[in-house]
Amino acid sequence: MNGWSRVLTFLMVGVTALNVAGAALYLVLDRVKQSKAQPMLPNGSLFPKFTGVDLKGAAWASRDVPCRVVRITDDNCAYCRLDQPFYDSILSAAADASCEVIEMAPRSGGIAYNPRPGVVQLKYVDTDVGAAIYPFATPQTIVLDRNWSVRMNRRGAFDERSLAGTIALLQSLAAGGAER
Amino acid sequence: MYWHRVLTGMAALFAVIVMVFLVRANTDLARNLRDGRVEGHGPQVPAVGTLAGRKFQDESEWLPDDAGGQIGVVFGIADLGVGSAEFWSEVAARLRTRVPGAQIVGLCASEDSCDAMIDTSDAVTLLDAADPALVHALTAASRDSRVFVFRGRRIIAGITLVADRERLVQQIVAYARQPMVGAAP
Repeated sequence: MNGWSRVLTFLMVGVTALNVAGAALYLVLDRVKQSKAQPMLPNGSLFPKFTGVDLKGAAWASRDVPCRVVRITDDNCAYCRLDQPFYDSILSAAADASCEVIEMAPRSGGIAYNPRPGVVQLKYVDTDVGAAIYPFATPQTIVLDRNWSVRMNRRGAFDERSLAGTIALLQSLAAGGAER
Repeated sequence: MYWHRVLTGMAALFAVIVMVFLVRANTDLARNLRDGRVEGHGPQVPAVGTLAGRKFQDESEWLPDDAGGQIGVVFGIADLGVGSAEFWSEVAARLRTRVPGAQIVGLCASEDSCDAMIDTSDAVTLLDAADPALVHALTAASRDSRVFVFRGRRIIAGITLVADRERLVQQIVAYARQPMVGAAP
């Protein structure tokens, strides 16, 4: 092997090593990006006691209820429409459990006015909740207990199993939240 | 031997091209992380939802005027650690001498933080609630001492606060002098 071949071979090995290092760095940065972009409150963490303004401009503050369902949705979100039948079941279970349901969208006017008993649709929220949620993930469903503790935080549409689990959780919270 | 050299050269060239691609991808990613941009919402403009909120005290709705493309700055207040009342009052005064009608809008972290800024209410529009995405984006930006520059109802940039007020004002004025592109969403 003459001089040039050696130089080229070393160059190739060196550049390949740099590529591997670059790919590893990319993966690490991508992981960091995901963790920064999608903060998620784990079960058991305390959700901020937030306030807001509903779609009609009225100030809203939560009442003392056994449970709260926070739903981040958007009328233009295909997965939200896909999830609607499951969400309807959640709404029904929430009503039976005397829970509050709080809907909000990642942009003002992202949800159409649709009054239902026990459901508030927020247009604006205060800083506390803005810091706690990642509003761009739709649909997102967060179940809070009487003490604002997160009991379930689901991103994406429901499936049969998660739906059954959520309904059971709402029933348990209505009964006093003994199951934890 | 000749083919050996050609193939080795081609492999090296390919490796260099891949390396350049990876370095550029990493640089872009690092820049986006630094600027708090969210993937899928354009390379320049952070995802902030809608520029809308509720004014502190009078509880009326705030929405910037879209016509004319007036320049403004929106930032998180006090507890979020971005600027002081005195800082923003002076920035507003300096900015308005060069861009009449420029808006300075602060989102309060709490009622206390709004109270702390109340003396500036002539110069700064105080909000106590806003679009969920705007609140989220401002909270994240405030951690890095960043604020958003808007024009009309569109956020056009995220900039890092600097202690030099004149330099900050010059940055905002530079955006005001740029031609407007596109309409509000």
